[in-house]
Amino acid sequence: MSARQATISDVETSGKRQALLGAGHVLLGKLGQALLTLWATVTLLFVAQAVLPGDRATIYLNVLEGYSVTRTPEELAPINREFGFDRPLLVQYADYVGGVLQGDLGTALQSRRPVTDLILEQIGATALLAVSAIVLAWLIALAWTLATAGRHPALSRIGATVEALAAGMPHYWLGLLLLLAFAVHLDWFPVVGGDSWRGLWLPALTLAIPLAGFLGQAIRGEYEHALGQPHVLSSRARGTDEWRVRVVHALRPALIPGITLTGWALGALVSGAVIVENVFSRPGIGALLVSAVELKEFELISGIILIVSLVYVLITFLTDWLYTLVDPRVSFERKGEA
Amino acid sequence: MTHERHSAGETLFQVKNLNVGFRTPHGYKRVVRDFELTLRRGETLAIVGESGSGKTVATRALIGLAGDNAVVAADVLRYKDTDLRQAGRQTLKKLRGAQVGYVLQDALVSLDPLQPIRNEIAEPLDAHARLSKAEIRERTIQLLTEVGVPQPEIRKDQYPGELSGGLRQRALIATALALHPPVIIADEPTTALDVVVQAQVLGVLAQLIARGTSLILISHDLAVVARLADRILVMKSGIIVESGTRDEVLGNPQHAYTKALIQAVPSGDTRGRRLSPAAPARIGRPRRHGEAAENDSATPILEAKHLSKSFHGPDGRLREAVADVSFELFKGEVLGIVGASGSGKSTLARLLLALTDYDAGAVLYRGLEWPRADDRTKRRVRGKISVVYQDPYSSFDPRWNVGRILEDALRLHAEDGHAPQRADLLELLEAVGLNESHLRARPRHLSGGQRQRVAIARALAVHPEILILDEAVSALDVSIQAQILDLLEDLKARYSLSILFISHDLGVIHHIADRVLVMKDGAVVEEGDADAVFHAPRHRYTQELVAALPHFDNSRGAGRHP
Repeated sequence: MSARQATISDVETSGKRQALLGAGHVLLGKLGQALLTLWATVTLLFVAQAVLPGDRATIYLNVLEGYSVTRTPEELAPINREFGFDRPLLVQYADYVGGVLQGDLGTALQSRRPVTDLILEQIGATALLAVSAIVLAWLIALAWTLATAGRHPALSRIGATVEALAAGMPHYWLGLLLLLAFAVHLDWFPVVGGDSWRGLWLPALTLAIPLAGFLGQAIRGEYEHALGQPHVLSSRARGTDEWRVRVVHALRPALIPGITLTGWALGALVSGAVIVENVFSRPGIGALLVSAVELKEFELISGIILIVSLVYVLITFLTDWLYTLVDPRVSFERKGEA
Repeated sequence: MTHERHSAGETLFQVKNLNVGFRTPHGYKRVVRDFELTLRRGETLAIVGESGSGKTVATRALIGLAGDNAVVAADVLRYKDTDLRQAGRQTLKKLRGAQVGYVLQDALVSLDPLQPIRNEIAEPLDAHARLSKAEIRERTIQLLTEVGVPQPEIRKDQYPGELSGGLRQRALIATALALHPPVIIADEPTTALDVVVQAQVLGVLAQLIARGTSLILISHDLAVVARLADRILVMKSGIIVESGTRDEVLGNPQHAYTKALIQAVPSGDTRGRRLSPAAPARIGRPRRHGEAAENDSATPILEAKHLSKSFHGPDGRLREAVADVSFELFKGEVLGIVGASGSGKSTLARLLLALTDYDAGAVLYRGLEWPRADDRTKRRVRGKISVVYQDPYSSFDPRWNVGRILEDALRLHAEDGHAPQRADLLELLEAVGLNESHLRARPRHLSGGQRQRVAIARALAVHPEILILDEAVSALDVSIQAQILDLLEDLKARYSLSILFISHDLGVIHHIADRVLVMKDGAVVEEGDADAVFHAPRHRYTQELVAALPHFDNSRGAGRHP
């Protein structure tokens, strides 16, 4: 009680300046956390490459020549020298970190091209797919929630059931189903997606529908809870339009769990993209990752992992900022306290 | 108050035989039965009754907001010339906000925490009038000024969480006032506010009435009702048991329930007499005694010496929550601590219970500074001091039934791992006016009063010498509060308890306390015998508190107004 009182009176008196100071402080802390996460990722990736079983020079030669045999030290020596595998681990580590800092993620073995270039070529398509999927998922989830939640109990139950079903649909199954129905049967969309706009619809929907199910489940509970709150009744008693009551007073607080989930979902979308890009023959990181794994292209895999981590960190920042937009009570400052 | 003033005014609301019920999974449940009401222009009508009596549902039904699963039927239900029984969505929407303003209970949850208050005030303006942005802005500031919110230009952009309880309540009233509707329905507008803030809100309501607004006031606080109402309806279990002018109902109550309600209001005049009609709980002789108490009434049983405690505020500044507080609690005494919310009362309780460590000073139990003693001593003394909070619900494990809750408390302090006997449980239940049938009940199945009884039983399970009650009756209806206060008096006598009674309610403190401490901003500003402090307050702050109290004199069963 007294703690709450303190917060209130202090906000009233000392004003925004103090809050901003606190916010700057916490922002620095968050930046530090983000850098720590990225550093840990880079280190883990290096350890995985340097320490995991399988001599790197052997793997390199095998990938290069296309067959697996045991190599003699004479064969390996020039490779080790060329890539510096014979140097002390710490030197190699410093070299690796230095390269990452300059955007050099190494060279892909088979294509002999820089990993950074390969990823940059493909990442646009995947980003477009992921963002479209998220936007679609939000649109579906919001429309579905507004249409079915907080109305007749039977309708609400149907709404929730459909959400649970959608959330449980595996991507490969849903993708094939959509492909068969809308591309093969109805011929509304191309069977081979490529990178055309028309080809984006089905892959994006494949990713969006299960995500919309998850989002809907998260939003629905909070939305129906908010509808029962006294401040909603308060608003209705002012003669406010029902539509406004629902959107402004009930839907807004319900967005918070949805935003949290979206941050998480972006990671899940990458694994979804692997499947969807294959099903719909789309270019993208997913396709690149699959081929890299098949070829044991460690540098390329590491590069993709690093980029995905970077995106994750950025998304976390973005969701933290979105919270403050939706709920003014959540400031960076308060989150820092908790 | 001139309650005949508008008696010839135009009839605004007319209700005959209103019945409201709810369809629930367990069948139809009727909540309001044969409700009747006539509201004339400029008149203030109060509806009193305990929670669950149907007063809120009945008034919500007037504007079609009884609930989605509500079944509303009436012979007459009209606002002016509009028959509300057939009213469609649009008609009701035009009624709400424009003709009838509704102020819900508890502004903390009745304002959207995510909206600055200017948006909430603009809402009815948007819904009913075509105003430009500048006009709305101007109107918002004007409304906030009207309800006495200082610095409206700054306040309008703040969120409910940034406002104090009093400002929040006034902002909520401003949202209902936006279009100056002829009728305002206010549901418990002063409940849970401390006395100074309550006086401010009452002032705002009195101004409304003076301007000719008709007010339907729902309240269980008879002092508030006595001050504002022209006519009073008394409801119990969904039925109007008595109605009439204020002086008729408060001065010469006919129904037993009304009489009991009036008798139940604690104040200085009720000291030493029972508030509830219920007979004293038949409390058996305690089966086990605590260790023989040193019968030395000269040494205080609990003592605070120059206690201080500071906390860091969110901005990093140090804020003194308890500042140099000293007092003594003697055996068998009730010491009351009053003060507004935020005055440090609850922090003080935590220091006394050794739940929070103090910065300076000492807490002494029979002369021993126990919070700084070794763990064994601490455990022993903990059993001597029990606490009951305002909301026991959150301190119960919802999966446990009453029997298990009490058993757990009994086992905690049973000597040499003695398993609690069924007889011990029954004795505890009996002591707090419950019985065997409650053993299996879970907290959510109990009423607020019953839950508080269980909390008291749990506190008694350890055979304490000292009971600390932190706003323990503040959330209860006046009739339930009366029963709990009576129960505490009985228990005090039976177990020779010393009680530290913390409350923001001056009436409660004056009723029960022998001596009183008045706290403000963490410090004790006045201390003395209850009668002396309340009848002849010396400190300015205490004088303000006492002056702000809407007085209700029930010693003769009659209402009086300041």
